[in-house]
Amino acid sequence: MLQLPCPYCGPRDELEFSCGGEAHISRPLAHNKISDADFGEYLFLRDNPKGVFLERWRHASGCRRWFNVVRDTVSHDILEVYAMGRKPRSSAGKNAYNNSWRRTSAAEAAAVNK
Amino acid sequence: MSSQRYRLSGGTTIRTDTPLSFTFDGKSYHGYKGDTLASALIAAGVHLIGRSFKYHRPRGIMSAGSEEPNALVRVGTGAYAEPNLKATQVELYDGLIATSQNRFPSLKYDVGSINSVMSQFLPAGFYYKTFMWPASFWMTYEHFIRNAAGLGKVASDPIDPERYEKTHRHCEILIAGGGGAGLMAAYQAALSGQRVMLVDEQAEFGGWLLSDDAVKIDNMPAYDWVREMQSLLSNMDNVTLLPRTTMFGYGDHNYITLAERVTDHLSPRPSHLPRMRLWKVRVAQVILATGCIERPLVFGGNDLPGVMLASAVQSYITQYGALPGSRAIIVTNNDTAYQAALAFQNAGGFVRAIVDTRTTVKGAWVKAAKDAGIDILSGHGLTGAYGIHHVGRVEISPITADGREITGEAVHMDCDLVMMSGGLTPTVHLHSQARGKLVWDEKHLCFKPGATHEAEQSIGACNGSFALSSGLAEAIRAATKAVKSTGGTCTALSVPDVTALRINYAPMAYWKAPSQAGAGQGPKAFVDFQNDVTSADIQLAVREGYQSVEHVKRYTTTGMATDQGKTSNMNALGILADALGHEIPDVGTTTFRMPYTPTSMGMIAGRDIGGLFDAVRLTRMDSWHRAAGAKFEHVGQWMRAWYYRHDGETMEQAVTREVLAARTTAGLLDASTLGKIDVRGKDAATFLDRIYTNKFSSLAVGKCRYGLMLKDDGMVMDDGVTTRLADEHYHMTTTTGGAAGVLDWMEEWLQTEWPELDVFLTSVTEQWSVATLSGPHARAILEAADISVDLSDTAFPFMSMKQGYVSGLPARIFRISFTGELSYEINVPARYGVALWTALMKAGEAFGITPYGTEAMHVLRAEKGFIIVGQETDGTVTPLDLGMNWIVSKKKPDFIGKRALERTSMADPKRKQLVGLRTDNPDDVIPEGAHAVLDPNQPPPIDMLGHVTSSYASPNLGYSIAMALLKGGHKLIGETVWIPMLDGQKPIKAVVTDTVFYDAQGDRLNGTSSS
Amino acid sequence: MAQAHPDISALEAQAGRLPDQMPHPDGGSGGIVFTDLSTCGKLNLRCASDVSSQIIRFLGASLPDKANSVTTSGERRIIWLGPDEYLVLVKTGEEDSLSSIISSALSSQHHAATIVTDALACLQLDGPAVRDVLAKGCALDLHDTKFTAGMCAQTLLASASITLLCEGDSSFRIICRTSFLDYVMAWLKDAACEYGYYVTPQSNI
Repeated sequence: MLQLPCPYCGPRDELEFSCGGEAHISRPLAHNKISDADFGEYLFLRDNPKGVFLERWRHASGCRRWFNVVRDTVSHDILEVYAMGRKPRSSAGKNAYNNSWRRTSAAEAAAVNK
Repeated sequence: MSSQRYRLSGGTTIRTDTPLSFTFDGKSYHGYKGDTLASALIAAGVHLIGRSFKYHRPRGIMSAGSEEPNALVRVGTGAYAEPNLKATQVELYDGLIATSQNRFPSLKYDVGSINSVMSQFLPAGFYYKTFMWPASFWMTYEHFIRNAAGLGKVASDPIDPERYEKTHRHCEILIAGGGGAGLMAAYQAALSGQRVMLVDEQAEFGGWLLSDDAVKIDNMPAYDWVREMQSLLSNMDNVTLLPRTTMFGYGDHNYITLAERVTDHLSPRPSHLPRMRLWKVRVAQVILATGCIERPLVFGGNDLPGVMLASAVQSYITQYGALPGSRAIIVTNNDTAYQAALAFQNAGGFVRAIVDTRTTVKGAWVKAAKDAGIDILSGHGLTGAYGIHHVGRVEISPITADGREITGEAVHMDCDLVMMSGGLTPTVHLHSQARGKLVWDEKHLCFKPGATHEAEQSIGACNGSFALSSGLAEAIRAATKAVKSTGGTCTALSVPDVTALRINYAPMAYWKAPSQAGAGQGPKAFVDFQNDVTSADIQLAVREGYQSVEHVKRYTTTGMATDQGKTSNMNALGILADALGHEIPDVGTTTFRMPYTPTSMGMIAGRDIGGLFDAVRLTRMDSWHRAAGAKFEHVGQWMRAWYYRHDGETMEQAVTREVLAARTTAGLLDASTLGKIDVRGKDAATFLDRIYTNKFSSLAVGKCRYGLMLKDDGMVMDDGVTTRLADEHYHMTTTTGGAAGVLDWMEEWLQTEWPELDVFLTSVTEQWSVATLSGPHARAILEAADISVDLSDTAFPFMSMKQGYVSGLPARIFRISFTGELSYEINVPARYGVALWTALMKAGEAFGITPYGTEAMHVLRAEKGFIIVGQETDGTVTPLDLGMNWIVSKKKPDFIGKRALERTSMADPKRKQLVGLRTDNPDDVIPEGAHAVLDPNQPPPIDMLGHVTSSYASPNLGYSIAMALLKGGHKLIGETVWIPMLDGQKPIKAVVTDTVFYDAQGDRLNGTSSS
Repeated sequence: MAQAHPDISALEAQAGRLPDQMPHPDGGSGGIVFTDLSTCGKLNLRCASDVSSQIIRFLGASLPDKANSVTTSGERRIIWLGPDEYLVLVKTGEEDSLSSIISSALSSQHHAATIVTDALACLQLDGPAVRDVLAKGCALDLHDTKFTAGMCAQTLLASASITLLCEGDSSFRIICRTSFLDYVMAWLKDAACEYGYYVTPQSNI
């Protein structure tokens, strides 16, 4: 069982958390003009890399707060934890963020709150 | 005691002042406290313990520890029986009852041993080959295989009467293995004051030191040093000592699982204590000191009772005071067996010869053996062992220096014990479970720990450091390092002086004895004893084209299952490497799985069984419902009253009575389980406009509105009525099952997507007890219950909320309806739930008030065509599919799911749409989940229209009603569909209708009836 | 074979029918005493942490400024639940007025003071076995040097979400949703059989 560092409550067992999947998926507003296919990328496509992954987690059985995690899916090393609305600062996290195909997706461009 | 013919005086763990009696296969024996079942049987001269898995071959005791592959027994009787225990690990207690396994009718005369004769027809991969084709034959084979397969029998009683505990623990340093290195590391670490746990699978700490009579530590006999260390440790508050505890699993981030056998060794067992305790420990630094396992040698007949590991013989003599034979042949490829030979001779046994596969033998132990007058046959191998139920004779042949060929005539010697040593295998299972790498040690012919992944270190024999002095030095180094990395401090101790004869441990590569018999001929030479895998099986697998060690493992089953290759892994690799013509490190190893040793399922379940299997949630009126004879159903974790059964009623009669009452007089439902969320803040209205498909910013204070929530893919996720309590304050209700999910969902949007919105959400589900009063007399009953608010339609219209008092209880009264009748949901602070309920029942008595359960609620809402999220929907259903376009705002710029509903595919006329079904025969009730088709006579595959989501006999309508999701359903209204049935029953004929079956005008909401 | 200890049977425990008193198996007093304090007033307070100075005089104590900590004033406890969320335990009946006072004091700020007296149950656990009993269902580090008086945590006890307060070396409180109380109590009693327990009548704080 992983041990995840809640930014508020400190290290707790994985059992107390729920994983919210891939982080940094900007939501295009409803009145966007992007195609169904581009919108489908926002809605359905999720990465599942072998290696560094940016994820959202929630301390479900604790303080109920969401936060971002940079996790290596192979080693399970937790490389960084950072607040919602922020971007990763570790080099591994930055690379994963900058190299994601989402940065150039139409859905992200149509999201005003990125 | 007289029956202990092979009992020696002494034995480091034997307490002769506490004699114990036990039975094995019905016969009584005696032993002492400190014995294992295996040592007591050896002391009694019993060596035939069980029959093997596949060939039913007679098997005895091979080892003295948890690596035992042969001596598996069933212990206990009736519901307390447990199969497949290793006799070497079962601590003796008074009254122990053990039985042998895998034999019929008796251990000595076993019908299944015909498999041994037939064994040439049971080669590696036999099952794969035989039962692959034709598939239809599987049914025939299965019957036989199921009867023959498996090892041991579980207790016949499905309920395990034992108690099991689970507990959590945190510590800075955990040491697995309490031998010399483990004890040293624990003491060094404990000096720092950090929390230290030391666990060992044996009843006593000391490991191999309990069996080593030739070594002195700081001038003390090893066993005295062990006792001194143990007493030092047990006096330290920061140290937890857990004997009889196996570290069986190594999880991510140093999550360690330990199995403690708490009372198995006690008689009688104190009943307040659990039989076993599962420890789940989060550890900062792990030190593995798990020792090593001696390898068997692979020669024909090596599985006969009386063929034992040399080190095990030494343990039985030194630790347990039990002599496993009287005339021994020692066969070895290394020096360590010489010590065992001398121990055997010193204990009064006669050593016929030491057969050493090495051409030249030298060193201190060899000299000691020669000085003791023992014959040493160097350059020889043991090429066969013979006997019926016990070894009686061995064949010894001269061999080449590389051990691959026989060079001359064999000699035969009689004996009753073979002590074999094929070298030492570090116990790297836990390091490997922790995803540590293994490296090949060419000198010691073994894999040992390499790079680590978790915060762990291996020390001593499990690290390939077989000499005690280097183990102790590593212990001090590792413990000091662990202390430092957990932020503690300690001064490194000096390494204790070890006095022992020097072993130059360098085994010869000799993975199997050469044989003059052809491949697959001659006596079987076992590699994996528990799984009955022979060297010929591995060679056959290679001939059949298997190359990868992982494939060979699965094809032959070597190293699999509960044994996890403890004694077999290295020999299998050596034989495989030879057969492939590779070096061992190039062949690689397989992955070691947890658990390290078999672990009781009861312990893993702990108290998560029966009524405590999962949390059960109760409303405040629960005891009232129970007293009224309610039957309950689980809704999520909630227990909800399902229906109230009167004496002599069937469920159907009870539900009918309740449904009719709600439409003719009044019904009362406990609706406390509905999710309730308090929504507050200046942006509450904006927020709800985004969460729901319809508008809530336009809702007037004091008014209620039904809302539908979608996921962003446009699919319905929940529904409920939300009421505006004040400008910036709403009271939301959700479905019972969806409450937690909806709160989490809304928090997610607030925290992650719209942090700029000022909205606070608070769950108030349990703050309110809710009684729903529904039916034509609802108003009259509330008046009789002394309600403080004006109930007239003008003062208190449908879809509004009033605060007041009911029978003196402060209440929020919502005039909303899920039955279609005049209906009030009365919310009171939860503590008043029973008071409200009983007050309403009393006030309604004269009006025929009837409590109704969730089943009647379902029928009532279905008559009105109201959906239940999760029943009519399944995550693939849009509001449009439900015919609820009216609730989807066209004006709002955005809400969750809006863009997804505009996808072209959402307008596909083939989408499944919700419709009503009315059966042709009013008595036919369609099973929920049944599929509808247009033409039941269409040759298969029949085109499916969709499935029935809800279906009931409607007492109010007098016929059967159903709802269904059918392809293009809205266009099918008026058409006939068929619902094919199972088991040759005739298909049910039904006509597609609108979903509203009852009171389509909605007149009854006002307590008046137009029909 | 195990001897049947009076009143301990796995099936009884599973049905939540354990008695209110289980003597310590070796005699002597029980290892843990349970007291139901559920009637105490409870207020869920959502607000920014920097409003503490504005309401300290009403609360009697400041808002806890550290995560997972509790501030105390007499019987009152202000429990940290999140960076902008607190639970206030008060004497029975005090919550109504306190909620209105806080609401008017914070009227210009984004806040919510919600009465949750009936929504949450509160159990007091005292006795030498308290940490051992809790550790059977709670994965936190409950060592007496690690989880000390004045600390709190929201966590899991078996399958129930709880808020755990440490009141002293051998004294804790558990706050859970009232719908879970029966389960939590049945679980605690079963887990405490090993040490003996006693359930006292409901009491006010």
